[in-house]
Amino acid sequence: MDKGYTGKILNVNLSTGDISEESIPDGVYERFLAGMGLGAYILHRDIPANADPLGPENILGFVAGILTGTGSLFTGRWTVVGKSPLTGGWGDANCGGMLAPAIKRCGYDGIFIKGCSDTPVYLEIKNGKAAIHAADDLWGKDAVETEVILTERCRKKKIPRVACIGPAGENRSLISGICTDKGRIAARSGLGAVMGAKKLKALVFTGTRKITPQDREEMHRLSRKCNRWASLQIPFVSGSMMGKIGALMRMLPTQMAMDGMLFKIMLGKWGTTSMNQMSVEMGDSPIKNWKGTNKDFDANRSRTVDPDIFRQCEIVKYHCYSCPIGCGGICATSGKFSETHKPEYETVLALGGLCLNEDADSIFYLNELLNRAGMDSISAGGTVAFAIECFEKGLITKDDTDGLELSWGNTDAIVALIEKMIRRDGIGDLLADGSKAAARKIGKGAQHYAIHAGGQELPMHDGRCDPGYVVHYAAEPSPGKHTVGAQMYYEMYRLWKKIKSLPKPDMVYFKGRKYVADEAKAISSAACSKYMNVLNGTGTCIFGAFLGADRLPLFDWINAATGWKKTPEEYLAIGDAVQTLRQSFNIKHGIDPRQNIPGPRVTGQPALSTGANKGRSVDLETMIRDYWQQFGWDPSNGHPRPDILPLTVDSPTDRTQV
Amino acid sequence: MNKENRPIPAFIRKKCMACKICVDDCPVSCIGVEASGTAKDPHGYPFLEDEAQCIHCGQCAENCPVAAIQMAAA
Repeated sequence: MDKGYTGKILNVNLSTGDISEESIPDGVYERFLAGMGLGAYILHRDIPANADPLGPENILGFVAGILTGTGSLFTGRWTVVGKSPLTGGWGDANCGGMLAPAIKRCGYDGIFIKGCSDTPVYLEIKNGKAAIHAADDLWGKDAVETEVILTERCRKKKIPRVACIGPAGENRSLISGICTDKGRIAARSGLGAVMGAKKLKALVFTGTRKITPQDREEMHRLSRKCNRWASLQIPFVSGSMMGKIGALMRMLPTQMAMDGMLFKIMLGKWGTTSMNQMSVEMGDSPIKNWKGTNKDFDANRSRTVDPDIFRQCEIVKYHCYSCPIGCGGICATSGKFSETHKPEYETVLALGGLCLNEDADSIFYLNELLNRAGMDSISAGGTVAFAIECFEKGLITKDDTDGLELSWGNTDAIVALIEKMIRRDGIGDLLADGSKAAARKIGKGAQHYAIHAGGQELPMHDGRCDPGYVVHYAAEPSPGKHTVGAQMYYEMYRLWKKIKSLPKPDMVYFKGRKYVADEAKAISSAACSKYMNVLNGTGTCIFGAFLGADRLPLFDWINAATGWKKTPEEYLAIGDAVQTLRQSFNIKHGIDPRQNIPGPRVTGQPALSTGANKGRSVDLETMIRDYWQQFGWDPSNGHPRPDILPLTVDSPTDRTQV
Repeated sequence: MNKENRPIPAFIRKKCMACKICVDDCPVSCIGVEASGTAKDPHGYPFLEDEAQCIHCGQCAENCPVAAIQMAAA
């Protein structure tokens, strides 16, 4: 191959048992890259309109990035794509660990699975071959148990890599994801339910093929240069100081443009938990189902999620494939589980501040429980917070909750409720499909307390603190995700260093400026989305991108790996095309993009009367219109113009049975 | 295989960034990751976990992006 990519995908039909290999023309990679872009191309081409997300026509794709395994850094993320049963439209979720290179080592850039099996199965893939095996003995086991069994069963010389679902996916919970590496999870978009509906328990990758870039010397030169930035780690303040820094940032009338090197240093020391108290204090983290403020979860109450507490439990740091930072960790815990992956910021705050839960031990326990069950911790926390507010308002009572006293901060009830959601037991069955579906069943105005975008619970970043987040929650083809863009992300991406036409943010600015909808913000938001599509097409981690485009040689790496000679502008145009392709997928499947706009609480209408985000509201309507316009879409409804780009590539593809 | 005089990977801790590329590259999974770190240096670094399994192919050294692995005589 010698281009970084394999040029092949594997198509599997679980209804018929057919397995075929398909050659993908170079033109597809040049137009959409690999990873999520390739996934968007295949799914848009092959899933018929109105296909049931949980039916046999939906296709679930496991794709690796074009840079994965080429000697580049930060490029160990794999992506799962499919029609989301949670939002009804385009769905994707990505995850780190060691799975991404394993996909390519089998000889494929992606595995695409359609059809549904009648009985539980798992798929074993190796060097251009694949086989479907019975998985009756694995059905019902959690993700860690499944991985341990399959690793032992399928091991030859090399350790196989496994992607699997836990009980939540088996039970078709619409907030379930797909797990790997004993607790990493591609959690968003509810794609674990698609795997469960296909009765596909796991994929096992045992390939040993080499991944060869066009110019390995250049790849190494670029990686060594990048690593000078990535390995820079200076002594930093203690965990308890982080909350105080957040409080200081809250009080200042001005804000400095964020340099991602600072965030990298925080990630290197604590991981994403570095943000815990800081985010609460500065108003970045939503509290009490988005109706509370930092005062409801003040420094005294949030001291239990001090980042140093998580660091002290760390036995060893955890690096995903090709990552020099290692923001993850393996933590020792007491109780039912002896260890767990270090809980991420999102998990800590979704199960903590969002529900006013102060008990750190319960967060460690729930983190491992959700990882093993394969349930999205963001959506689980968001749904629990929704249920607590419904209970508070009297929309559900103890008769409905199987006797649970669902009050704010009631740790025992929160733990019991999540255990029920995983099992679909009693009230858990009502909540296992997320807050939007539950609100519809509860009625009585419960939808006002369901905080979601298009059905997906919102992450732990408040658009009232950084309006960029809420634009992407509302207007992306895959709504409700925090890993695309924000005003702060744009500052850290430093794209203007590579693409001179992009606006350079001021070094220091008054906070009020963040809420003014102007063209520069629309250009910045669109640039974030396009760049993220390039990152997802290459398998690159967003934390690598936070180093800045001048320090992360992403575009140079792609050129060295593939032999292309594209400019940064051309790569951003690829990101633009992938965005339109994903939005076109939504339109094809009957999604009205405006239905993804979250409720008024999220945008501060009415504005909060106290706390860090006091008096702040976001003119989301204008920001979304401006954002859609940047892609050449209709600003009134988000529909791409039919003539905007050809979504197919003319070259024919070859299919052969394997 | 006669293992005498065959090169095995030597890991240079100062250069290593614990990225695990070599762990994945190894065709026989003989490179492991340290199970615990130290307070001063908490990363889990790669090491030759199973020397008997090593096939001396040098892929780990070839693919290491920061030249932190050298194939050297055992």
